[in-house]
Formats: sequence, C-alpha cells, structure tokens
Amino acid sequence: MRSTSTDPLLSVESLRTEFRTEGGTVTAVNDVSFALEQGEVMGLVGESGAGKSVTATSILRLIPYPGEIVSGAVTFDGEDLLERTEKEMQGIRGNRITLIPQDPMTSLNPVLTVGRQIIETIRLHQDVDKAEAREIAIESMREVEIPDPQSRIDEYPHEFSGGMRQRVLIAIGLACEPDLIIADEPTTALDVTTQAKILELLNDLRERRGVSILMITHNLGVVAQTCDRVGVMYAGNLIETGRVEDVFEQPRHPYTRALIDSIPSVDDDLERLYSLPGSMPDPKALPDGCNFADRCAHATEECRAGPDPALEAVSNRSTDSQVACLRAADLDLSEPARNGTDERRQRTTTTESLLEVNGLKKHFSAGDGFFGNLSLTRTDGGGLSLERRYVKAVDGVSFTINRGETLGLVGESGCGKSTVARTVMQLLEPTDGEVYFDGHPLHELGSSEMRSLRQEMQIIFQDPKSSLNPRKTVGQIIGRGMKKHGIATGDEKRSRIEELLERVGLQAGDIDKYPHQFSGGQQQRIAIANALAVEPKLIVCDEPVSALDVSVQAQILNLLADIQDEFDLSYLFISHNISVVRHICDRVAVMYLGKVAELGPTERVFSPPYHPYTESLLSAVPHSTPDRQPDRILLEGTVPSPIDPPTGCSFHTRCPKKLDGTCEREEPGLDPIDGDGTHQISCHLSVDEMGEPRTETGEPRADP
Amino acid sequence: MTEEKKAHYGRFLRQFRRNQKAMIGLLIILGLVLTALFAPVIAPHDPEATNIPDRELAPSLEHPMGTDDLGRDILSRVMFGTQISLYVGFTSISAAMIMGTTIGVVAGYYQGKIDEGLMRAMDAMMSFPPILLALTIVAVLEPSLNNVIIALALVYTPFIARVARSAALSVRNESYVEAAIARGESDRYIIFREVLPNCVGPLLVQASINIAFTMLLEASLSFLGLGVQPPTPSWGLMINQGWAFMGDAPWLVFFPALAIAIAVIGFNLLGDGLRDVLDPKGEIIE
Repeated sequence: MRSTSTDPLLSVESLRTEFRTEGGTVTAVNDVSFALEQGEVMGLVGESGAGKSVTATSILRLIPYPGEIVSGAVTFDGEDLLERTEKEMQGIRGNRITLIPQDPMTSLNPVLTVGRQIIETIRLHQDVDKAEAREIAIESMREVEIPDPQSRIDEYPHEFSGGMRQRVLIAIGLACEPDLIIADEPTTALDVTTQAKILELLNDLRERRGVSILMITHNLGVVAQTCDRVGVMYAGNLIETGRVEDVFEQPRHPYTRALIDSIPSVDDDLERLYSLPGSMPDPKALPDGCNFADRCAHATEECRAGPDPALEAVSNRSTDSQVACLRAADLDLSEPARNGTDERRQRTTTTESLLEVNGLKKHFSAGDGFFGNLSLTRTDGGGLSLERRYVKAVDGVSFTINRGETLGLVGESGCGKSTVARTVMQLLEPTDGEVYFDGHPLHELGSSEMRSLRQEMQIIFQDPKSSLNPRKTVGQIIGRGMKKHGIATGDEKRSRIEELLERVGLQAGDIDKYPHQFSGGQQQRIAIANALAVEPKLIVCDEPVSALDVSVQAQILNLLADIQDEFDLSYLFISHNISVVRHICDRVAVMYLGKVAELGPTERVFSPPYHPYTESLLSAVPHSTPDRQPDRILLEGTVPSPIDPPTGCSFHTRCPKKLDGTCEREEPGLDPIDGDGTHQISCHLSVDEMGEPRTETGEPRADP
Repeated sequence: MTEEKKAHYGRFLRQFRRNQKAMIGLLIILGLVLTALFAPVIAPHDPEATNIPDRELAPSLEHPMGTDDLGRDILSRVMFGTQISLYVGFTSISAAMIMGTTIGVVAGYYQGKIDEGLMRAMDAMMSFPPILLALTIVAVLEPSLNNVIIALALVYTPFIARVARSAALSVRNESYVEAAIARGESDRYIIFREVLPNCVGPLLVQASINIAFTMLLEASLSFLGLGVQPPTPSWGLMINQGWAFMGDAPWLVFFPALAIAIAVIGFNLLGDGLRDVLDPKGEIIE
C-alpha cells in the first residue's frame, strides 16, 4: 500500500487544537510533536483531560465543534493531512487510518448485521462487488479470531458479547488493510480477562501484519504490555517520550515518575501509596511556565515562569528519550518515590464479627412486568410447561466482616458483587438468607427499626457526581444525616461539618459550595465526609475509585486507609480492580456468577494454591513493568447467563483445569484448605493440583 | 450560600437574556399581565355598558377596535378579557401542576405496580380529545368559571404527570437517592426533597407550553357557551357572539382572536426558550 521510504509513517509537528467555549479558550492540545515509524506501536498515556484523545481525533480531523486545529502539521506517509480537503480525508479515514473506538457496546449500529457493517466499510473504499466484500469481511473476522465467521457474519450486534463486539470493531478497522490503527482506549470498557484477550490479539496482529498502532490509554499496564514507545501527556502538553523500557525504568519527568508510583501493584505490599497532591490545572487557566509545577516536588522558581518547557532530548543519555522538564538533567528519578515503608500496613483487627452474611440470595425476575418472566419450555416428557425465569444475581453467598476489618469483593462485571452490597444494606430485599449486623438480624427487622440502624452502615458510590444532590450545598448534604440521626444541630453541626471537610482534605470554606464546583476526586471526598457524618461502624465502598484518575485514586485510597484506623471502621470494599483490592483489603472474596469462588486473607488468596478463576484473573492483569511478559491464562468463551447457570461448578465451562465428569455434575462446596480454616476455596481439585502451575498447552486436562 | 445562589442564578439570567425566543415570550406575557392588572384604569370604556345606537361601529379613533352588536367597546372588552384568560390559565395550570407532579413523581419513584396503575389511568384520560373531556366535565358540573378551571386542570394533569414521571425515573437512578435511602430517610422526604427539586426544569417548560393550550381551551369552551357566562368579557365568548356578524363586522371576531393568538404565541415562545435555556447540554443543569 505504502510507498517505501525512510520517513516516519506519521509525524505530528507542533499540533495545537483549541476549543472556543463560552468560558474561554481551552487549549486541549498544546504544541504536541511526535513521530510513529512503520510497524511501531506507540502509546499515548495521561489522565482524563490530558489531551490524548483530542490528539488522536486531530490526526483524523474529526474535532467536534467548537474545536479547531489552530496550527501545526500532521504528515502521514508524506502528505500533510491538514491540507487535504474533507472529501480526500473521507478516503483516508477507515481506509488507510482506522479508529477503534472505546465503547464496543455503543459503537455498532444495533439494527444492522455485523456483516453489513464490515462490508459497508470495505465497499466504500475498495472497488469490489458484494460477494468479494463478503469474502474479505469473513476473512477479517477470522483474523480477529471470531469463531465460526461464516455464520456469525449474519448476526446482529446484540448476539455478540462485549469482547466479541470489540473484535468486530477491530475487524472493521482491519478490513481495508490500513497502515495505521488509532485505538482509543480499546479495552477500558472491558473486563480484565477480556482485556487480556484483546491485547493479545492486537499484539498478534501487529506481528502478522506489521501495522502501526497509536494506542491511547490511561492504563500504564496496557502500555507496558503492548507498546514499543510511549508518550506521556499532561494538561495538553506531551511531556515525555521514549522507549517503553526507558520511560518505565528511568523516567525523566517528575509527573511520569508519580504516575508510575501511584498505581497499586498486584504483587507489591506498600503501607501507603505514593500520591500526587492536587489535580490537573483548569485548562482554561493554565499557570505560567510548566503546567505541572504546582504539583511537582522538584519545581523551582524558574519552572513557574515563562512558556511551557520544550520537549528536548536528554543530553546525558544514549536513548532517544525526550522530556519537557527544565530540571531533567539534574534529577535522578530512577528510584520510586515512596511515603511510608515497603511493609504492608500493620493492622490490628479483632475477631469479633460485625457483619455476618449466611446463604444470601437475590433473584431478579427476568423480563418486565407480571408476565414478562414467563417462558414456555419443553419438558423431558415432551409436554409443554410454563416456567418463571429469574436472574440469579446472588446465589448463596456467606461471609463475615470483623470489626475494623476490610473485606474485598472482587469479580468481573455481572458477577453480583454490587448486588451483594445492596442486599446486605437492605437497599434490595434479599430473596433468601440471613444478614446479622452487630447482632441484629437485618432480614427480620421492620422498616422503622431498619431506618434507625442505617446510621451504623453507610455506602460510598462509584460515581461521585451522581451521589451528591446537585441542588444542595455541601453543608446541606452532609448536615442532613447529622440532623436526621440526632447527632448534632445548629452551630455544633456546622462546626462538625467543617471539621469533617478538613479531615477529608477539603477546606472548611467549602461548606457553602455546590457539588458541581468540585473535581471528581474532591466530590468523592465529600461523599466520604458524608458517610462519616453519621458515625457509622461499616462503610460499603462500591467501586469508590473506578471513576477516578490514577493519581487521585491513590489519594482516595490513602484517605480511606487513614480514616479506617481513626474512626475504627469496617469496610466492605467492592472493586473489579485486583491491584486496588490487594492494596487495601485484609481479606478477599472472589466472586464468579453469584457465588464465592475463593475467600481468605489477602496474601493467601493472591498466592498459590489458587482457585483456577482467581489464577486466571491474576494473570490477566497487565503489569506495569514492560520486561515482564506474564504467562497469561486466557479463559475460553464468556461468562454464562445468570438465568441458566451451568450445572455443577459454575466455572466449569471456562475452567482450564476442569476435571471431566465431576465438575459438570457436582457443585463444589466452599471448603477450608488450610489448618485454621480461614482460607476457603470452592473447587473439586486437590490442594496440590490448585497449587501447581497450569499445564503448558493450556488444554483441559484429560485425567482427573 | 447567598453568594453561590447568586452566581447560579446570574448564569441562568445571562443565558435567558441571550435567548431571543424566551425574551420575546416574556415581554408579551408581561404586556398581558400589565393589561390585565390595569384594565380598569386604562380601558377607555366600561366593557359591559351597552349603547345600542353605536352598535357595530367600524374601528375608529373613539373605538380603536370598533364596537359589538350591543355597542360595547371591543378594545375595553379585550382588555378585561385578558383578566379572565390569564386567571383561568394560571389557576388551572397551577392545579394541574400540583396534581400532575405528585402523581408523576410518585409513579416514577415507586415504579412497578403503583406506576402501572397511575400511568394507565393517566393514559385513559389522555386518550380522550382534550376538548371532549373538558366539555363532558363542564356539562356534568354545570357551566361556570370555576368549573371550567376544574375541568381544564383535570384535562392537563396527565400531560404534566407524564413529564414528571420521566424526569423522576431518571433522577431515581442517581446514587444520591440511594444514599438517602441508606441514610434512613422516609419516602416522603426523598420524593419531595431529593427527587422533586431535580425535576423542576422540564416541568416548568411543560407548564408554560400547556398554559397556552388551557387558554385556547377556555376560549373554545366559552365559544361553545359552556365557559364563562355573559356579560363577563372573555375572548372565546366574544368570538362566539361575534360569529353571527362575521360578514358585516369582522372586527367582532378578529380582535379577540388576535388577542388569543398573541397570548398563545407568548407562552409558547417562553416555553420553548426555557427549554433551550434549561437544556442539560447547556450550562445551567450540571
């Protein structure tokens, strides 16, 4: 396709994109320059608002109103894309440069078959007839490893799982044999096990096809596992570029260092996470000099004056790294910055239980309305029978939380972890099972008794914006709980709120502000202050950091750890992020399809012997150390429907260590595997078998 | 707190002032309200004083809109008619707002069977043409100004309820509602203090559009003789009575009809403008 030349495939020079909004001009991309060689994979990382997605859309000239590319040049294969007409750009987009969008669930048209959507792209750019286009479409579906492409090509998007839809989108991108693929957060909306498979596929494609990929992501692990080179963005500037190994091992920019240090790792035990103070500056009012200076520990007066530092090669290094920092030459950032020790947080937890959950079940009726969940099935005898169908979101879960302890609930989306939290708190009525809180049987209490007990248990939500009523001030929000439960009124209430705000890292003066005046991380702090206001014993944290950027995530995790000791709190901590759970939890329950697969102290759950599902979850997490290529266990297929869960062990359909016969028929119990009974695994395998590494081929083992 | 409210309010006003539709609508309505308030002062003649010798006079300086078949000054009657129209419009829509919002928010908050029950009843009411339903209610209650208001309020309740329900449904899914339940709040507190204030935007828009319809319907009812009773001046009634003289004296119908048209346009413009200003994509609802 491409004329052979030694020039880079794509080179971006001094690109500047601005958005003219009512409140002022926002420079989303500020003098960004980089080059991408043929066959190279480059990552653009940064937190939200760093300008990475706008850079990608600027390359494709797809900036939405009121955005505008103000200056710069984008040279692709020798031609300047900014000089092309819109018509010429249409011939390039989807053909020579393709985009893989972030959310596979909304990026396919639900009323067209996937085949039509692939064929449409092919026929738009290539002079082929329908039959040939169909052949190419089937071929590209095969290439992205969609099983049985001949028949699946005529299916509709809703018949595909999330991971399979992302494959379809990649197939659309590949169908015209592009030179460059721009992948905008291609795995952010996917579960870790699915993410691992998509990353594996992208790595394969790149090896087979020699296609160049520009990978936009906020996840350093993804970069480390897929990219050759990386560019780090902050507040519209590209602040560091270089080979992945160099940047990860010896970052030259303080922000890069901080970003790497903020991420909890799956195999490190740190007392506290390193956290950057503050958050990214308002793009409408960027400071003079280096945009990062206000959060930088190494900033000098020189950093805070003049224009943004230019991206320059580091003089005393042999690599081709470039960094935009005035002090790059004097700083040695090869050692991670840490606060606290490398020891795991020493916790004293009692063995007195606060929350006890026995055989909890929550079934939702499948379908809408009174008749919606009825389904006609043929019985074994051949007669018809009418059955009510239920989604078994939680199907027999038992655990306890001791005073002052943090129990983590991990699992992929749809495993029922959020439903457990809401059922425990009696926000949803359990179908069956017992919940004892501080000795009170919650499942038997009347609504007024329950209401007064609610003071003792609070919840923090995933989306901080949605958890604060936009029409109330911070003081009204936090004060309501105090008034409601008779903790404080009048001036005493106000001074307590101010104290709480300061405790969670805000200012007392914030009491009269409205939630929308705060950033996401600050809103989550308000939500935490709100939970603390009624002096609870248990706080349920439902994905409290998933919506936050990594540097802010570290601040919130540290805050949660600090207040736990101070206020003697117990947490039920729900997250899909295994590293976060490992960092903050004392004990962990791994959930799969509404059941607990493994339960035990954190360090024992995350070391052998494992439940096969825990093992594959752990192996799927992309490590943020580039030299480490983990031996990934890729699970077959997708999570089965919770309406008709598999017989026997619900994981047997995907288990790489399945025993033929037993696993399909008998449901394993959650049995203790060690002497004191604190570590329990629900699996038919023996302890030795669970401990040994999986067979090389990954094939299911034939003999039990 | 006041500082903050001022900033919030100031932004709303700025957006509102920049919106032409809303501003024109507001000016028209202000004009109507002033006319209604000061009608006894500014009206050149007594609206109910008959003067048979001066009947059906064409518009002139003395009678800018002419006189009707009993010699009454049409300009004065249109001015006094503004009182009736605005009174009927505001009271009936306020009553409809109170009933519709309560029904809609309760249905949206509880969902399930309560929702089904309430909304099917609303659908049943909406399946009648508004004029037919209003006629039936007035006919049953006997024609009078107050009964017209009751009928109009009942007719427009389902329209408000539908909007309130859909707004409440989306607010219901916000975490702060769940947080309120987790705090142990009563349903009443949650519905009226957490859910309702966040549904106000779309409801205001719906109300200002529907108020134009209630004024039209009041005119229609009066035209059919089931509304305001003579000799009280009402725009609909004036058209009704002038109808017979369309050929000789078209101004008997033209000017009251023009007044109705202006009022309807005014409220529609305000409603449309408010919708633009309060649009979630705009800045005000963040």
